[in-house]
Amino acid sequence: MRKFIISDRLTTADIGLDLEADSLNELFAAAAEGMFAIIFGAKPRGPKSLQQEIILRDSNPEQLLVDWLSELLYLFDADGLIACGYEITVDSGENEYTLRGTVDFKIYDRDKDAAEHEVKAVTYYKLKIERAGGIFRCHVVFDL
Amino acid sequence: MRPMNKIAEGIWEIPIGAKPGMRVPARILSSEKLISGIDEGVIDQITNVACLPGIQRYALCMPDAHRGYGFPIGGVAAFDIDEGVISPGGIGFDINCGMRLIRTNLTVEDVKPRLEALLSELFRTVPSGVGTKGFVSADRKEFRKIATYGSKWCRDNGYATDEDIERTESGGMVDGADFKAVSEKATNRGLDQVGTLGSGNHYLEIEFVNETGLLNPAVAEVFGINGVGQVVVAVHCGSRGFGHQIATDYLKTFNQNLSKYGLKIGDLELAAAPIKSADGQAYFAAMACAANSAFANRQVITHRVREAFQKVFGISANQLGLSTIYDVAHNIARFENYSIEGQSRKLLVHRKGATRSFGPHNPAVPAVYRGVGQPVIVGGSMETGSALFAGTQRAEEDYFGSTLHGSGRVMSRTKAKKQIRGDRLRQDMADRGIMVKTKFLGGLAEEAGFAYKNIDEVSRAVHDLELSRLVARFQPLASIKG
Repeated sequence: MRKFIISDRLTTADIGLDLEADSLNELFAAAAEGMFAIIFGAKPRGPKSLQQEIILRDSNPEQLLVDWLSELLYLFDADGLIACGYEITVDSGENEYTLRGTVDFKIYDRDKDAAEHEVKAVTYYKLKIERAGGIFRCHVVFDL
Repeated sequence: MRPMNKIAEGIWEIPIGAKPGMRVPARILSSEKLISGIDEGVIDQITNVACLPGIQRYALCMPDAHRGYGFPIGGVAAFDIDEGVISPGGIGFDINCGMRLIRTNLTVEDVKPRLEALLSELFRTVPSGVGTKGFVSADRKEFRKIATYGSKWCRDNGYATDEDIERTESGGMVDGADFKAVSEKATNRGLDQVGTLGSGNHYLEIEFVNETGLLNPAVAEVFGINGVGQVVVAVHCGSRGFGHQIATDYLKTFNQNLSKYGLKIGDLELAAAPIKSADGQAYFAAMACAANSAFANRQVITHRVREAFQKVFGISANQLGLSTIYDVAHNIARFENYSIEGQSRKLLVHRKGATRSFGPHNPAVPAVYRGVGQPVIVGGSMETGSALFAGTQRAEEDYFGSTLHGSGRVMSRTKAKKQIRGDRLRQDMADRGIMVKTKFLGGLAEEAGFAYKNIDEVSRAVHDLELSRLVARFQPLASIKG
């Protein structure tokens, strides 16, 4: 289970996501889906063009979430790649969280993929992943 | 709400002790009307800033302040260079987001018959929106020069005149830029984006001095604003993905190294490093690269503006009188000298959503403006147009040479979109004589005038406080929104 709701409850000028999932894997996937929903207004359509392996490590899950979304944002902004499918796992080890897996991408076509918002960056603003009753929740704010 | 004491007309102070760890008071510069609507988030953020090591006198909030990340938007703070810190959260993700104002000899009557052609040409030649590529072709070696030399690269490559350089803050080139401090990712994001407007609240507008807009004719004349009806062009954009990535990179580094510097900072967006530390020096060098790329971005767009006017009017940009009035940074940190307890001290001034406001006789002000003070360019909403102020000695003496940057957002994007549809707003604006071109109509609704504070109210507060003196107000005629 994973879901995101686009929300500006914590920001005036920008936009955020309320995230809910039954695992960290799903929470991270929901965050990525939500970020591209902010950029495009809907799930990007069209066939996937390539698949890429991604491995990221950091000391805490919040920083790892920022790293993950920032990486996808970088690939979009620098290479025109829109993430559209996720097979990822997030594991915790001793003093380290690791995200590994594969991401499907489609190539951004400015004429067909009508983008709505430019996300400049992922912020740490009030970023906290919490777990209650087996559900992971988090709010992440993006600078537009 | 934390205790705020009104200490003078337009000045509210939150004393040391209102929050544990505050080293200086926080001061909110505002008006009775504006202060009543101030967001608690602004108070929380500016009092966090007041806790940072090495901060001098007070943490300041400009009248257009609203909640941001780390610093509030409209936040200003100056730090001792030995004891103080530098914070990416005091500058923002869009490093040197700023404004340029270009004058013309044309009147609104000259432009109106060709407005549609002019707007279409500008929309075609100045790329806007998400993921657009710039018209400047730069390989990595050339991009490094752009980031190092800023507007001076533009002059050497035919995009700028000497006058443009003179009339740009810091001559369009911040000293201390070192490309070695820039990541590969930042370069990759920025490489194709020189000469792009971007999206969100970035814009290119054709405006004119309205009937009540010539507020200080003598100073306006010095700035090249000669009368009612005169047309100007306003450009609002920044360092694009290059600056966004530099801020992302260094926020992470600073957060990882807080304990190394013995810093305890509750807000991750306010992560900082000592100015003289290796991290602090590296961030300043990278931030300066981003600032220079932003000056270059607005300069090459100015070049395109000149070309568009030439094409549509069939005469040269010189004959049309298309010259830069000034170009200002709204998100930047600069080393500047201020008197602290009677002694001149070099400080690092952070301005996030704030503009430098140097008064008459300051040697950093271009010679042509030194008699009246630096032009301060302020963006309103796309429905209300821009404002032009002159910097003041009072701002230098009391407010670290700083003033407002815009009208300040008060309504969220989703709420604004619920109030009006983009197509309806475009029609409403057309009925009022404002032509709009945009890639995303929903984004237009997000930028509706009612989503911002009243620029006239904010301007009055700034003028009354002598943060800067109001010179002219401009009314929009046509707008390109990213």
